[in-house]
Amino acid sequence: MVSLPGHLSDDITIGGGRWLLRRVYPDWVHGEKPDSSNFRHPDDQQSGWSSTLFETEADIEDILRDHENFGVIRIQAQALRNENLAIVRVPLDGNSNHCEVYGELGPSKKRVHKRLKAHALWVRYPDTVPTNLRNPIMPIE
Amino acid sequence: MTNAARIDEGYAFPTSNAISQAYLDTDKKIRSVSSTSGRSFGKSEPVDVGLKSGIKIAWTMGGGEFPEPVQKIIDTLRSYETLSENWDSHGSKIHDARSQLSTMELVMAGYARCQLPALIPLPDGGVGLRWDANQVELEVDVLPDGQCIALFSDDQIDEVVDISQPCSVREVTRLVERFCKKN
Repeated sequence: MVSLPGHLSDDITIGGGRWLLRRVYPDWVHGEKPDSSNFRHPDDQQSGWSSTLFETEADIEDILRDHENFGVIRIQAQALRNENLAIVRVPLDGNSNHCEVYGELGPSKKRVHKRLKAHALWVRYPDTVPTNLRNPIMPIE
Repeated sequence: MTNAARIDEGYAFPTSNAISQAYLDTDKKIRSVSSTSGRSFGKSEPVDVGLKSGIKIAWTMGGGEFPEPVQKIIDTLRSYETLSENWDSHGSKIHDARSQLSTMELVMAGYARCQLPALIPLPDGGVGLRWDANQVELEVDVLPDGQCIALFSDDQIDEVVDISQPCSVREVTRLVERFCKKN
């Protein structure tokens, strides 16, 4: 993760119970679960960790556009904030609810990744997860 | 000499600037690697497995075929070499061949002791190795330069070993041994 740039702040209008979507590269699974690598971020990047605030089903279509074989996970905003991460809205063309997540993960990045993984739920499985391993997908409320 | 001892000796090999001289040594009953080059080798001759790093694997006992699961791992690593920048759509980097030797050392350590890991490409160009069985989990991230970070967790006894500072593959191999003792 990247430190929150000084001119930005956590968007507190995004309540802790709101869900953020994250596009999942098809190989970033382990068994039927999303892998912790979904929460890794190349450290030298200047932008945050990319996600999309869920408002409607159209947001799922937005993030899968041109990436139809990818999966999608969701994680609650509070789970991110519990790790001292901040959420910033960064609207993009064709993905108006796009957000970036910023913050230092501290000395134990893998523990944080593992905790975040534990909070992640599938919205759409990638093709790489065998159908016999998949659990029912609950609608986002 | 046990398989484990021979594999441990392999760690004397090489760092990134000597990767082409490197090889792994194991007692598995294998003497050829056919899917990468179609060539056949003597039982202890190091075989170039066709990765960009030039890793060679020497099988010290003959009489068997190269095991398919290990070949699949090598093929998987080779497929990572073909990933273009931003393959994850989140700004990922291309695969770094310097990570391959450490990856294969850990793969063979797992293979010799209990089981092969699942592999995943990492967005920084490294390779993730995942072992998971009976509520014991080991995650190793081989960084682009071949160093490793790792997290071992045993939910049965609520034990966690966290190696957050990049370290050598030898250090992480101890966690592979630990995982395998429990499985």
